[in-house]
Order: sequence, then structure tokens, then C-alpha cells
Amino acid sequence: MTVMTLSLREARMVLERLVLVAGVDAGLVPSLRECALFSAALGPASFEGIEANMNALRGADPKRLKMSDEGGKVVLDGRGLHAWYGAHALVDLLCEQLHDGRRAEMRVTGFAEPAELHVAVPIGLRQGISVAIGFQDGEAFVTAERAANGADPVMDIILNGTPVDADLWWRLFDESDKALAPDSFESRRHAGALIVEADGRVIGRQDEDDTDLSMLTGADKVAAARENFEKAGQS
Amino acid sequence: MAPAVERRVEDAASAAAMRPASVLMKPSRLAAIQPSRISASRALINRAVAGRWRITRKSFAIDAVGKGIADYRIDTGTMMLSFPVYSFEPSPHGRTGRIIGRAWDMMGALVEGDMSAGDFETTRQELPKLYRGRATPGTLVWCRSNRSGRVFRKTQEALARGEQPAIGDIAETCYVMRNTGLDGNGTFGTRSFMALEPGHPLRSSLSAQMLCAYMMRVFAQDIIEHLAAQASPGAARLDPSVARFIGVGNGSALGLMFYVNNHPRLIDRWLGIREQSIAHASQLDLTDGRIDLLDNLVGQALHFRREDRVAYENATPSGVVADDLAVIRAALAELRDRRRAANAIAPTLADLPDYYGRPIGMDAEETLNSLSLELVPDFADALVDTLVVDEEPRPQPFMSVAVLRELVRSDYAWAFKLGIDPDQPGDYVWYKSVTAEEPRRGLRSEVPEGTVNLGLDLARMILALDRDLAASDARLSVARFLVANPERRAIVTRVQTLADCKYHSVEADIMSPDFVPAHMTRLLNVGIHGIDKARDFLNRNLRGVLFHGAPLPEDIASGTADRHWFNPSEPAA
Repeated sequence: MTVMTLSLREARMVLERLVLVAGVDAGLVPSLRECALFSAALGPASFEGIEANMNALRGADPKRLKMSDEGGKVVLDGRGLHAWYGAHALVDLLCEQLHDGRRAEMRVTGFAEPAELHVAVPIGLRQGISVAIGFQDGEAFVTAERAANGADPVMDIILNGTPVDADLWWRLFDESDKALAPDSFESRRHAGALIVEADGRVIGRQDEDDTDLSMLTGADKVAAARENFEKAGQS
Repeated sequence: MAPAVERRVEDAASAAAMRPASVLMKPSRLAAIQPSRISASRALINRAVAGRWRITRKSFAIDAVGKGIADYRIDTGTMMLSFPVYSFEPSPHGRTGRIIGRAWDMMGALVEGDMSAGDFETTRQELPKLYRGRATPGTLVWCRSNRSGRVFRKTQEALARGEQPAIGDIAETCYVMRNTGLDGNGTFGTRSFMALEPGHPLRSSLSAQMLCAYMMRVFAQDIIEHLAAQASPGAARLDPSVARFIGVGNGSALGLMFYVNNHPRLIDRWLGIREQSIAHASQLDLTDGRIDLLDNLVGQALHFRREDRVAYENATPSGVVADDLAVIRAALAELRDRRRAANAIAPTLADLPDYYGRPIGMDAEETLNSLSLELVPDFADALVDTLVVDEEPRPQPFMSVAVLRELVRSDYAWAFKLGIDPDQPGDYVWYKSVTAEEPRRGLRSEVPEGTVNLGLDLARMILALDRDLAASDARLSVARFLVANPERRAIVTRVQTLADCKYHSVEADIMSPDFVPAHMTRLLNVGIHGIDKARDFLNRNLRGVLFHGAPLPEDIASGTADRHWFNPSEPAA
């Protein structure tokens, strides 16, 4: 196994694209990406668990998440959602309790992959709280208190990077490419300093440009494009 | 008044003089911002000159067609950096200024320390792989550039004849090589800039990329002289005045819109320090000395615009800007005369528009604003040193729905005036192609089905959030609001994170056909990077010149650099 060290930026970019590939709502992409980052970089699942967790995100309705107060105790029910869908909400509600001067404690139930609730620990640290999670009879009991200053799990990744098996990484990298659009000559007209139309017509100024026109149109259209290009350059 | 109290009063006055976001954050206004001493390239040169950085060529083994290697060192006084160069024979195949290009005339890297032979070789092997490559430890930036075909060839031929290049040829582009990619900050395993230690010479934003670009310019001039010498034993070297005039080219396009969206705190901080500096300068008493300095600088800018040979598509022609700068000069002269004649209260720059006599355009206004920073150089430079910006989210789950809605209605008031329906997607989609991750923007009807929109549709996100907030109990916490409305988490976090910022978001619907992407490219390229003569193509691409007129390595090392080197005149024939 070859281990490589990823930067925070690389890890976030690929994980965010994988979340996009999973087809979740755009409004949840950054928070789920962070869950994936913490799961991969700090446990519980590490990068080996990323593919399975991403698959579990597909097709979910995040509005299934329910919160209730039972005798003053907050209960968060995932109703079958993957734990990452509840992790930020969990931390938010703990912060709210501490902010209101209450004991920060919750019962958390109904989540798939409940071990992944542990991503709430680094998420909490980033918001200044220390989260503790215990499991009993399939439910999680979560408490929090204000964290000592200085702990930022993201800064640790910024400074030291995060290790990953190289083969696994490139597999994830290739999978994340599915969030990018397939290339085509038509798509190539959506960027660049000049456009070569399907019939070889050139749109845009051709001064100071040494573009290989075969990159912008089919090989059979290059001659026409070159002719138009040179004609325009002389005018 | 005690100095501390006086300073607080001054600070408050400066803050009051800063322009509101509703004026500054319009795309056309942002596009008009001109280079200044806080632009990243100029700030780098100022730092290098002050520190007398030494740039040396350790080796240069390149053949007559341009194939080979070179190796440079940069000694900042506090750190040694290496700049290995891998040079190639130009090929017409796969050649384009776009990121999808596959042919480069040089590749290089900026690496901390005195690079070992092993790392030099590893970098040579890894660089061409780009997305599949891995930088060696301590690498800050990977870069690549291409020769500017015609101008490079003409310059090389002139030198080979023992002559200086014709200024008319050079002035077509003002560069002989053009940057086609600068990748750092974690990409390809490079160091994260947030990890750079306090005191690191390249710690402030964009410094590492700018030093890399400057080294491209150094290499471009070295190789053109080398190739001329290879062709003819009687070849000339570039005259220093011509060499200073030649900068390094830069092409940029749609990707900078993503940069603006992803770096709102940097954009806010940079615009904020510019506004603070302008406000500070505008409150100074305009003494004769200050008027003279400003008059010289405006005159220099006017001459620069008059000589500009670049043909712009939609950007303001330089002749128009020059005419407006002449109005400013006349106003400065009148202000000086009145001040002397009436012995009145010393005027300030804020009084200047009263003497214009006719309206002037935004480009000239922003030229004056940029030049006014030369009245407060220490103030502005101290602020530039604070450009180490953290873009991490700062959620506030205990905030009430009422407070969040107030924030949305006040900070994003512009979005409510656009008259758009949040449920109707915009006409355009911003996306990245799988080929080299090139950013593209196309009509929704033209992009392949399933294309993921990567553009920040801020206006629609804000309107949808406001609608959901309005339907919620105003006393509810944001924590509970987000349990019921999880799809609003991204926009809520963004709004809260940027609550203490003033200039974070461009006030426009970027999905609309009316939006001009080149406006944002111009803000980044011209204002923030400091690029001159930025020609526009199809309202989306810009090509311009960095370090135009900048000191040469020997000027920097000797401390003899002209502190007002920018807006250079064409060298004498």
C-alpha cells in the first residue's frame, strides 16, 4: 500500500464532488462534505468507508429529520437517514442549549450508520463545544460542554495534511469526476477567447492567438476554421 | 486631543468615508477598479525592494530550440526559495491559452528552501502530470507558460540582429511569455497557504503566485536573450529600459467567478483595505507637496493611457480614460491655485470633484482612487500585511429567525430588487468540464442533461431563504429552523459567516444573460492582481500584462528601483 498525504483543499474538493455525485440538495453539500472530511480524516470510517457512506446518502429526504422536546429533553430522530444528515443539527442544538444556559444533552435515535454520529465531535470543536457520545440499546446519548480554546481539527489537517492509500484516493478522484460535465466541441464554445462554430465559422477576435483550432472543432472543420481565422486576421 | 483619541476619531471618519456596498459591489464599478500599491503584484515588488531580495540564476542549460532546464534562487533575507524551470521546444499541437491546452513552453515551481537535485528531478517528472502529479514537500506553486508567438519571435530576431526590438512590436502585448496556469494552496500536494508561518515572506494572500509570475518574467527575458545569442554571436541583450517595459502576460477567464464566490472574506478584506486607504488619503490636507505628487502620478497615468495601443472590445478605450484624467489634472491645478490665492482652509481630495467641470467615467475615478494610495503608502502597506484571510464557516445556531431575517433583508437588499422568482432557475449554468476542469458557462438549454451547476446562485438562494424565514416563528432559533429546513443550511451559514463583512458579494444575478463575467475577471485581474492593459474577449476572457514597468532583479537587489515604476512610458526607440 502506498500512502500519500492529501492537503485539506484536495480532500475537500474530491469529497464535495462525491457528495454532488450522490445527488443531494445543493444546500446540504458543504455540511455533508465536512462530515465526509471528518469521517475520512479523523475516523470513524476513514477513507475506506467513504464510498459506502456516499452511497447511503443517495435518494434520502433530509426533511425526515425530526426534533422534539420530551419533558425538557431534546430528542433528534433520524427516521432512517444516514447519520451525516443529523450531525450538524445535533451540534447546533447542543450549542443552543449551552447558549441558553441549559445542560446540553440529547437523545439521538433512528439514524443509519449511527457510529458516523461521531463526526459531531470535530464539528462541535469547530463551534467551541466538546461533544461526548455514548450508545445504549441502539440509541445515542449526547452531551456537550464548552471546549477549551485552541482545538481546531481543520487546522490540524491544514498543517499536517491527511494520509490516504494512493490507490483508493485515485479511485475516489476518478469517481468524483462524475460531478464534472462531459466534454464536447459544443461545450468548448462555453469558454475561451474565441468560438469556432460547428460549421467552422470563427467568432471573436483572432489577434494574438495561437490556438490549435482542432481543439475547438472537429478535425474535418479545421481547414474551414483556419481559413476564416486567417481571413479575419488580415482584415 | 491625545494621540490615541485623535487616531480613533480619524479611524471613525475614515470608516464613514468608505463607500457603501450598494455603490461598490455593482459589477461595473468593481470592473473599473485599477491597479494600485495594494494589488498583489505591486505589493510583492514593494516588499521585495524594501527587503532587497536577491534573485540569482544557478544554472541554465537550454539548447537552441528552447529545450532544457534552468534553476533560480530567490533570497528574501529571511528565506531561500527555489524556482526550477523545465523548458520545451514550442509545439503547435494542443496549444491554446485555455486551461485545456496540452502544450506548454515552460513549466516551473516555486519551492521553499534550496532545492535538492532529487526534488528537482522528481518535480520534472511530476509537473507534466498536473492533476495526477504530486509536488515535493515545501512546494508553494506549480506554474506553466507559453511564448507569445509573434512578439516573442520578433523580439528574438531583433536581438539576434544586434538590435533592440521595435517598441511598436513589443507594445502589441507588452509581454513575450504568458502565464497559463498557477496552481498552489494545496493543489497537487502543494503547501496550504494558511499553514505558512508568521514571518513567512509570502504569507499574505496571492504573494506566492505573484512571485512565481515574476520569476516567469525573469525566465522569459533570460531565454529570449539566450535563444538570440544561440542564433547569432553578435546578438544584443535587452536594454534595461526595454526589459522593464516587458512584463509577463496573463490570461484569465470564468474560473475567477468561482474564486470570488469561494473567497468572500478575502474579497471583503481586500476591498475594505482599499476603501480604508482611499478614505484616509481623502481626508489629508492637500498640501502643495501632496498635490504635486498626485499631479505627477495622474500625468504619468494619462501618458500611459495615451500610449496604450491595445484595442478593447467592451472595456473603456484608453483615450476616453486619458481625457478624463486630463480633467482631473486640471482640477488639481485649480485646487492648488485657489489654495494659494485665497489662503483658505487646506482642501482635501474629497473636494476635488467640485472642480471637474464635467462628469468623468468610473475608470478615471478609480485610477485617481488607486493613485491616492501613494499619499498614504505606509498606511496601505500595513493593511496589506493583514491579508491572511480565513474563509472557514462561522455558524451561529442560537441566532433567532428574526435576527437572521433582518440580516438577510439588510445585507442582501439588492437581491430583492432584481425581480426574480427563486423557483425559476436562471438562463445560464456555470460548470466545469471533465477536461482539465475548465470552468464554463452556457445556456441551460445547451448544456448536457444532468450538468451540475457550480455557480453560486446567491440571489435565488437569498430569496428562497427569506420566504422560509417569513413562514417560520420569528422567535425560533436558527438551530431549530434548520432542522425543519435543512436545504437552507448552506445559505444560512454563508449569511452568518459574512455578517461582519461589508464587501463580500457582488450584487448581481450571475445566472442572467445580462451578467458580464469579464467584470469579475477584471476585478481580480486588474484590481487585485494588478494587471495592466487587460484586453477583453467575448465578455468573458481577459489577457493583460503583470509587472509592466516593474524593476528588474538587479534594481530590486541594489535598492535602486523607482518607487513609482508603474504606468511606464514606452522606452525611447
